[in-house]
Amino acid sequence: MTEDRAAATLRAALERRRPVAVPRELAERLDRIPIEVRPLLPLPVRATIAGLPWVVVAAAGIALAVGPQFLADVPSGPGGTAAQIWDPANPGGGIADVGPFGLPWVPLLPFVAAYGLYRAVARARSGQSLVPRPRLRWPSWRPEPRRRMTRRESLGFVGSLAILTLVNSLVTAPHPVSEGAVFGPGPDVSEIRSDGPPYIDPAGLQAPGRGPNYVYRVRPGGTYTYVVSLRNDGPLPITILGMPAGGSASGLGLLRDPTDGSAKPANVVAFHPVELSPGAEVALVVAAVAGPCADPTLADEPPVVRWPTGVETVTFAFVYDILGWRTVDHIWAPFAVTVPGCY
Amino acid sequence: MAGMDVVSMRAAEQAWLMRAEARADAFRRLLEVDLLRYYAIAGAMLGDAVDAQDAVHDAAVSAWQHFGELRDEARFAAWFDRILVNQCRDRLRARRRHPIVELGAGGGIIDEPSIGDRSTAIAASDAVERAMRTLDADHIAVVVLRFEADLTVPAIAERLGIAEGTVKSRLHHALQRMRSAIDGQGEGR
Repeated sequence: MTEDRAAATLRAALERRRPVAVPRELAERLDRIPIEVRPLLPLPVRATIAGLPWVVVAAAGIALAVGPQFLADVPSGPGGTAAQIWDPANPGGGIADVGPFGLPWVPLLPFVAAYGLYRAVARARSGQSLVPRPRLRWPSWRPEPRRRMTRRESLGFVGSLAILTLVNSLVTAPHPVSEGAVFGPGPDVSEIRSDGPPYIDPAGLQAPGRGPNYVYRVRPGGTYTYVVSLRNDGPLPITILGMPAGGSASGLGLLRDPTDGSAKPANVVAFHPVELSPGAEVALVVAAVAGPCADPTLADEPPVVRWPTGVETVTFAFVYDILGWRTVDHIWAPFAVTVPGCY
Repeated sequence: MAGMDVVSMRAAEQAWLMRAEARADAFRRLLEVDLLRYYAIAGAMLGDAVDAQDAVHDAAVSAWQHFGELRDEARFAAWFDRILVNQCRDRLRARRRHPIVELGAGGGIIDEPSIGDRSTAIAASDAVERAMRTLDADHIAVVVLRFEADLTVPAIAERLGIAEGTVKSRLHHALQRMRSAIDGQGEGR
């Protein structure tokens, strides 16, 4: 059978089965539609009603991300007066929570809202209910063409990937916090050795030598201090909130004059959140309390050969806020802190 | 003053009701013009009278809800065709996912030509019907719009929102499938 013949057969078959009249009950049902069914509101109105909540969510996300920068008066430096002079024995402050789940929920809000807005407008355009109903796969799931489902799933996957990549590259990848040029021991250091951790050139992977090892001969429960400076290497301003709880630090102070580099109490103010614009730097004084293992009488403690074993702290974690996202970054310090007895 | 307000409100209400009534009348009139054709398209696509009535009804409900968005009443037929075909396609897909099997002796929907249908023409008609059921919803839509609604390829493309080349390709593919199905049935007899 040729294609033309098939077409003719098909045409004839359809003609034979063609109805000659519209059933009366159908005509009656159709006649009642304008009485029983309310026409939808105009599309712009429906789209506005459906999209408004998502616009509010996006606005809230943007306000949470950017608002604190404008509203809160976060100083960009240590500042401080004589009344705020820091007490190393009672450092307090500077221990911060990471926040809800450590997720970048504030920067993600506008993206979520954008997707919600897109879906809401699509719903309004297709005449569906403006309030989304939970989709049940069974038994009332409305079947969709496989091609459309595949396209939607692909778009969803690509979109999610793009958002994750964007957030990652914007927020995480630049590792905004890095060690600055100022670091050193507090005035309570007992000895500075040259057997610290291998010094890695920031520009490469060379290990030309070893960093200093600050040795603190303190009794159990005694406080010792050292200086760490942080620099914002990212493209966005960040706010340093402190160190996460659970670490070795008992409190933080801010070095008033970083060029001095000395953690003398007169040069240190109590910690407060500090805003760092891109490229800016701040020097923090970390106070830690020696554990019961500390033994100041030990004269000959082993050098730091099995790095990081025997080293009190090599990496430091700092909590900071970027675009409303409270997160943690770790920096590696090119020096070791050793408390004899605690290795 | 207050009395005048009441009068003007009543007048506005009357005007609104008249406009709504005129709109409903316009919708009914436009739907009625080609109603038989719509019913025939739905019947040809779905192969079932009750399902076809439901499809036309649901399409009419959707069309009435969106009637305000139709700018040019002269394009009502094309606009409604599109809604109806989408409605029928959804029903066909639902049927594929949840097939309805009649509880007859054979257990199938169409097993043999109807009892008493002995003429070749009717047998061919049944064969075509069976062959059509082997096509998917997109192909059925193209076939029905071409051979039942007698639309041109560009008109079909416009109604389905696809390229003309796609319409031609689907038509060709559908006819080929139907031809082989009819041939296969002829040989099997």
